Formats: sequence, C-alpha cells, structure tokens
Amino acid sequence: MIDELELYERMLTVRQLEEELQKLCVLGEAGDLHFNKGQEAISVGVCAALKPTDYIVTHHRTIAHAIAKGIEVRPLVAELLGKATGINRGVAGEMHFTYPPARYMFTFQLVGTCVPVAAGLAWAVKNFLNKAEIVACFFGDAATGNAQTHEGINIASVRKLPLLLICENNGVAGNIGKEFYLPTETVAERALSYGIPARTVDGNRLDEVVDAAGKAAGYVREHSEPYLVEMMTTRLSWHKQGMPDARSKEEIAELAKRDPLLYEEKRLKMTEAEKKQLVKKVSTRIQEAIAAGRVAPLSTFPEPG
Amino acid sequence: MREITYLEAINEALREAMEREKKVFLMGEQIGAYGGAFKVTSGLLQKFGPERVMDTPISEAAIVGAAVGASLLGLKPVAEIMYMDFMPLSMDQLVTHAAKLHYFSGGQLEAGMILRTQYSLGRAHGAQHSGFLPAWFLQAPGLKVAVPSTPYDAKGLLNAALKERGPVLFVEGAMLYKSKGEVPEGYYEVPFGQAEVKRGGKDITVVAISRMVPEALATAESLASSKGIEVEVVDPRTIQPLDKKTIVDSVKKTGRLVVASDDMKTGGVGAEIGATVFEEAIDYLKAPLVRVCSPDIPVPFAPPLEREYMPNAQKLEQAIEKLFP
Ligand SMILES: Cc1ncc(C[n+]2csc(CCOP(=O)(O)OP(=O)(O)O)c2C)c(N)n1
Repeated sequence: MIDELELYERMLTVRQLEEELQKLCVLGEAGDLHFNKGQEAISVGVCAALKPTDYIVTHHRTIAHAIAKGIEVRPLVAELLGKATGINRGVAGEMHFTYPPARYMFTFQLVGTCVPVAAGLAWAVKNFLNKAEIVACFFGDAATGNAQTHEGINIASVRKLPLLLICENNGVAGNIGKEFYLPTETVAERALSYGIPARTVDGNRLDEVVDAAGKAAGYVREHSEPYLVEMMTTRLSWHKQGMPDARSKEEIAELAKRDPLLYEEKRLKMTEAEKKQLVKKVSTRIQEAIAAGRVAPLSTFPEPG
Repeated sequence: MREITYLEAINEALREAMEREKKVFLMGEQIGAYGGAFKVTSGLLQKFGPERVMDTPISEAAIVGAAVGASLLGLKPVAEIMYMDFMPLSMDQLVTHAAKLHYFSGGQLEAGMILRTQYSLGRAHGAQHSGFLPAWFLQAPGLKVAVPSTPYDAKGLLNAALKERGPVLFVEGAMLYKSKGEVPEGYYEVPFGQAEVKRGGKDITVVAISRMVPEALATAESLASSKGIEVEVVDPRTIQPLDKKTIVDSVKKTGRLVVASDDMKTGGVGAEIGATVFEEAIDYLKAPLVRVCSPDIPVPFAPPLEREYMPNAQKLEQAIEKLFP
C-alpha cells in the first residue's frame, strides 16, 4: 500500500533540497544544478508505482529521481559538495548520480542517450537475468528530437523489451518552446510509429501519475514490451543554475497554478499546521545533511597512481 | 583601440559576416531569441530573422549533417554545438563525411562550414560538460581546427574560417568569454596556420593553448620578476594546420619546451607538439619535454575538486621552476 503522505513528503524534500542546493551553488560550494521544481510528482509517483527492484535510468533533472528512488538526503548532499561520503564518492555531483543499490542505474546528461542504455538493461533483465523486473527510463519531450531516443525505442519495440518509457513533457527545452523541436501535438502519438502503446496524463497530479505508471508498469511486466507514458508537466524554475528563464514571470505564475505540491495538499486536505510541521521536519533533515556534508573530507577518488 | 570581450568579438564577427554575405547563416540549439546558452549569438535573430538564424531541435547529428548539406549548395553554415562534449554525437557527419568530401569527390565538392563549440572547464559543469577534446580532431584530414585565446584572435580567426573552402571546427573557451582585449572595428583576418609569439623570452618556450594562454602569460610575468627566467609564450591559434616553424624556431632559441593545455595529457595536443619538436629540433633540447595538462581522468564535479584538477599558472610555474634547479 502506498503511503500518500510519505509521497508528498518526498516531493517536498525535492523542492526544499533544490532550494538549499541552489544556495550552495551560488556560494561556489557545489557545481551546476538542474531544477525539477514543478515536475516532482512524476519521478515520485512513477518510482512509487515501480517495485523497489525495478531499474531506472534518467536524465538531467536528477535530484527528484534520486529522492524518488529512495536515496538518502545526506549522501546526496555530500555528493554535490564533492565529499568522499557522497553516493558516488563525491566525483559525480548532481550531473552524474548513480546508485545501483537502489537500482538507480545512471544519470545521462546528454539528452536522449539514456534510452538505448535502458533498452540494453531491459534486454539483460529479460534474456540474461531472466527476471520479472522492468526498466523505467525518464526523458524530456525535447529528447524525442535526438536520434538516440528513436534508436533506443525502436530496438526495444522490435525485440519486445520490458521498458517503461516516461516522457516528462514540460513543453520547453532549456529556453525554447516546443514549436522548435516537436512536430506533433503530443509525444504519445509518435508511439504509433514504433508500434507500442502510449497514453498522455497530467503529470502534476500525483494520483494520476501513480495510477498511470502502475498500469503501464503492469503491462510492461505482463507482456514484456515497451509502453510510453507522456506526463504533461510544468517547469517552474530556471532550466538550471546561472541560466535565467526566457519566459516571463507572469507565464511562470500561470503555470504555478498547476503546482503538483498544491494539488496534493488540496487532495490530501492538509491543514496549514500539518504542512508546517512537515516543512520543518524536511528542512531539519536537509540542514543536518548540509552540516554533515560540509565537514566531511573531500573526495580522493580515484587514488593517484 | 577599443576593447571588447572575447564573446563580443565572436558576436561581432558573426554579425559582420552575415551583413557582408547572404550565404552565411546560423544554426544551433536555442541560439535564436535566447541568444545561445552562452549568449554568443545574442541579437542576431532580431537582426537577420529566422531564415538565417535557425533554432534547431536537440539533434547534434542532424545539425551538422544539415550544415554539410547546405554547404554543398553554396551556403556557409555556422553551426553551434553547445558543449564540446556533445561533439561525439555529430562526429560522424563532421569527421567521416564533411572532412572527406573534398577528397572523395575528386575536388568537386567541399563542405565549407564552420562548427562553433566551446569548452567549459572551470565552470563546475561536471564530466560531460567540461571537456576540451581537440586532439580527437587531428585525425580528420580535411578538417581545420581553431582555438583562439584572445578577442582579437577570435574575430580574426572566425573571419578567416569563413573564407575556408572546407570544414572548420572553431573551439571557444567559455572561461575566456568575459576576457577583454583590443579588437579592430571592421574586417581583418588572422590566418590559419600562423602561431603568434604572445611574449618573447630566451630561456624556455611555453606553447599554450586557449585558456592556458593567459595563464602562461601570468606565469611568464611572475617568473621574470621572481627568478629572472624569460619565458617565451607561443600560441598556435590553430592546431590544424599547426605552425610548426614558429614553435620549432622558438625551441631552437630557448632549448626548452613546455606545452600547457586544458586537454588530457595522454594522446593530447601536447603529444603532437612534442613529437614535432623531437622530429625537427631534438638536438637543441637541453631539458625533457614537460606537459602541463589535465590528468587522465574525467573532470570532477565539485568546485574544489575541479580547481585541483585543472592546470593553471601556478602549476605551470612549478613545472618550469623544476627545469631551472
Ligand atoms: C545531446 C545534448 N544536447 C544538448 C544538451 C543541452 N541541454 C541540456 S537540457 C536541454 C533541454 C532538454 O529538454 P528536454 O529533454 O525536453 O528536458 P527538459 O530540460 O525540458 O527537462 C538541452 C538542450 C544536452 N544536455 N545534451
């Protein structure tokens, strides 16, 4: 049974963690950072619908995927600070998280490159490990303009691989709108050309995400073939630290009406007091992680010689 | 003379080229209204319109492939690949096709296009957004490679690149974008294959590339005042073609060679430059070749680790001091 309050807490953790990490970026303590603000329901919802033993590979808005897959805040923060106690011994940062123990296999910074690798994982799971696990691959709507996305989906379809494709459609690529990269109304309609099933849902509604991802994951597991779920969402932040938004404040304020946190607070009928308490709990955890990260030793990986 | 930044110099060269010649057009990811991830193409969409400033999807292979196609019918595409680390995605079109077309067609076709890219080492962008990978492109006969280090060279080399009949890879240093220098208004060229001695000296030659040029100049300044060591700083400006003569003449004079570059040591540009000097001036060498480069590991993400990783003026100075016990 999925604990809805816990999922809300995860989304909140992502939101607050990104805000704190941004400060560390500005201070020069952490490097580059891509924000997930406004898209949290997707990773949190999808990972909740997966089994813990299912694999994920993902793209550049990584903090959410990491928290969603159950990685602790402390080693994540340490990772961004370049510390030996980070999940990747401090050398990967937000850009290149990987955490096989949680089956978070890799973060692909180059748009589209995660899809073929996800197909390969799915091939190995199905034909080599002979397991019932599936692979979920997250990518953006603009990634569909890149050849590797097509090649990966094509192979997965031809060879009937257990691959759940999650397209986070925020309608932008960095600082340009979809008219520059997407020739169709939706990404889902492109699935027809690969011969795989697909659907489009509201990715800012956690309950819809969990439901759609759960059904799609069930399909992938049962039929061993790819399924594409397009999650319509909103990027409420800059594309990344240091890259101001091309959209106007008004435009973003309009999108913010669809904030997945607000939706969930309403749906769960959360009181102000309950919310405050959660905010405090999460922020304490984050501050403790930052304090611990700051005093941890710098990474020495790989050892010289 | 007026001073402008390296970034402004490139922007100006592009604007002037587009004013001069209708066949010049730009393509790349968010280069239009947004002006590019680094703002190098700022204002050009507004001035020249979407037919000449094309915002593309995230399709590095198609960007370069389409540039090749357009060049075959006489256009002069200037394509932008956002980070040098993304070049492998377009490598096939550039190296396997564009560079060889002149040869394959018995001289009938030429892919006269410019591919602009930049490297971000020093900006804490992690191991897939920091790479300086010039040596990969030395094994692509038909392709020329420019690595400007000053605003003056950036504009002059871009002008020269526009006249080239074949493909040119133009590698900008993101850490240099804000650096200022004298740049003439209007047209001038910095010819390909012509190094510049950025500072004269009799004791040791430092061949420095891109971001390491200003670092080497700082080292030279410091060693001259602290130790009386006179460092000659040579900037090749293009590494394909490479001005071997200027480098070799300098080493014949000083008897010592250090190569300073942000790329990794093994198989890097420094290896090629060192080998050239061994071939042509080994008898003049009084000391072993030294390469001050990035170590042979991916770039770490966190700022303190990245600082430790990168070559800089201080590391260069220490390396030179060792040669003068
Ligand atoms: C191959 C490649 N080209 C360009 C980039 C630079 N870049 C990073 S994110 C991004 C936009 C990606 O859009 P989308 O896939 O829709 O995801 P979103 O950023 O909207 O979450 C771009 C162009 C990159 N990381 N990789």
